[in-house]
Amino acid sequence: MISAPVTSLADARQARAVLASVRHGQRRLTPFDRPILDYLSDLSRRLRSWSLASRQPAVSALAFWIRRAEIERLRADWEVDAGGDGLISLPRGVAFHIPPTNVDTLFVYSWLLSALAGNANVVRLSPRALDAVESLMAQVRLTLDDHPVIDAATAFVTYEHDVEITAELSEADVRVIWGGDTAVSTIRSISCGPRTSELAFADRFSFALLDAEAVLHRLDVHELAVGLYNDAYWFDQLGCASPRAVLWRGQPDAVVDAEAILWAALAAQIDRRGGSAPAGAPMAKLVHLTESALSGDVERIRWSSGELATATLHDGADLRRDGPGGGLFYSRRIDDLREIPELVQRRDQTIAHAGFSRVELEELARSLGAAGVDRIVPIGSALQFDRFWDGHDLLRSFSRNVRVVA
Amino acid sequence: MTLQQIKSVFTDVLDLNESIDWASVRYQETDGWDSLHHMAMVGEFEDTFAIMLDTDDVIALSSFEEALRILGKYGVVTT
Repeated sequence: MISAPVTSLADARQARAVLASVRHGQRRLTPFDRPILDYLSDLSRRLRSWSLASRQPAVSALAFWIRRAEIERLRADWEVDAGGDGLISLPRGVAFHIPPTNVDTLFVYSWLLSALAGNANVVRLSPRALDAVESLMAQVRLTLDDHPVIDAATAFVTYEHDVEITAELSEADVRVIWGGDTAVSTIRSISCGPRTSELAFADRFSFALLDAEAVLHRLDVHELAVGLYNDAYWFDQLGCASPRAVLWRGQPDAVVDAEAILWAALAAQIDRRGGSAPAGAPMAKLVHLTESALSGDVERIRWSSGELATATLHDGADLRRDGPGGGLFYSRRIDDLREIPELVQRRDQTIAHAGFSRVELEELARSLGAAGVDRIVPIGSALQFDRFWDGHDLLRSFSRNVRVVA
Repeated sequence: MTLQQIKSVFTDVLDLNESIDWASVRYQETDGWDSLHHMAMVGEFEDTFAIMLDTDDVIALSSFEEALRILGKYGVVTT
């Protein structure tokens, strides 16, 4: 029984023992069962109180997304799909998660989605990440103490890069690697079991797609600004689904006018609701904008405040994907949605749209082929926690779908 | 009782004084009501009254008055 918050693994033998232990604990689990639902409810409550005391927006968001209302929504969707003809959804067994070192709360999402699917879980936290997640882990641990069934099926481990330990843990039934790109490549060079399924989430980029005419004449710009504010500012544009660029469809004059209106409305939102960019953000943005200006790609720069800066790229310029977030938007104009597949890269994830019909959006999605983009959703819902992540149905990926024909 | 419970969520989460002008309590205008505290309040309301708010209502719950109206939709009636 693993009782320390994070177990330090000394060697492959110990890793094997941990895997065997949680595998044993997994036997009592089924998808969306009482033990995990209760655990999530409790953890949500605990994290909620703690996030208020410690002022951590990311923890606040996590508590919010794992609360009963959201989990029940997940479960309702799940039950609709899961009961397909002759299909029974069962756990895969044990999932081994390798979260990124730079996004503190992400490991919890990965772990908990897998747990909802009825799996036991081993989560590897980097030794370098331990300080940052210490308090969060304390909350996780305290809650596990009250939920022995889940506790027996959960292990948090830490170790320096060690091929043998990773290989041992990769004998799990699922291996999940959360990037960036380098981490994914490195782990992939260590093989997993022959029947181990693997999910990898590398660097992503997201942008908004707006129709200029719609913004000028049809849409409620205030509402649009509220939605864009939610999408962009909740996580300082650092969420992979946060739009960091805006693509405009329209004639040049219309786009110029629509841009002006949108940025003014967004600035007003920021005034009303406050920005939340961390201390270094304005500087980071200024540096980035200066580099862009020097590169010759940029036609116009607007510095609205420490919270909002925008740079209009020349027609035909590539989208800048390396911005620092914190309220910096690059924008570009296109004449037609058919130009998008050329512009899009495999790392693009979410398009947050406004002013387009369902037909246009579905045609756009189909035209993308293998080019990129895994989500096309309305402005305002870019950050919505979704079991569909980077093109994967996570709940399905964490499950075995067993065909039963009598 | 219910009105008091609702006010308690506000005063507990936002650290407000009971004697404030409740009509002026508004998201991002009232000191302390930022997105972080907003999410916490939604969670508190749901736990206190055993309800589950729709996503639209989560966003619409942007003032004390709106809170009364929205919670009313879920059967939380202030008599």
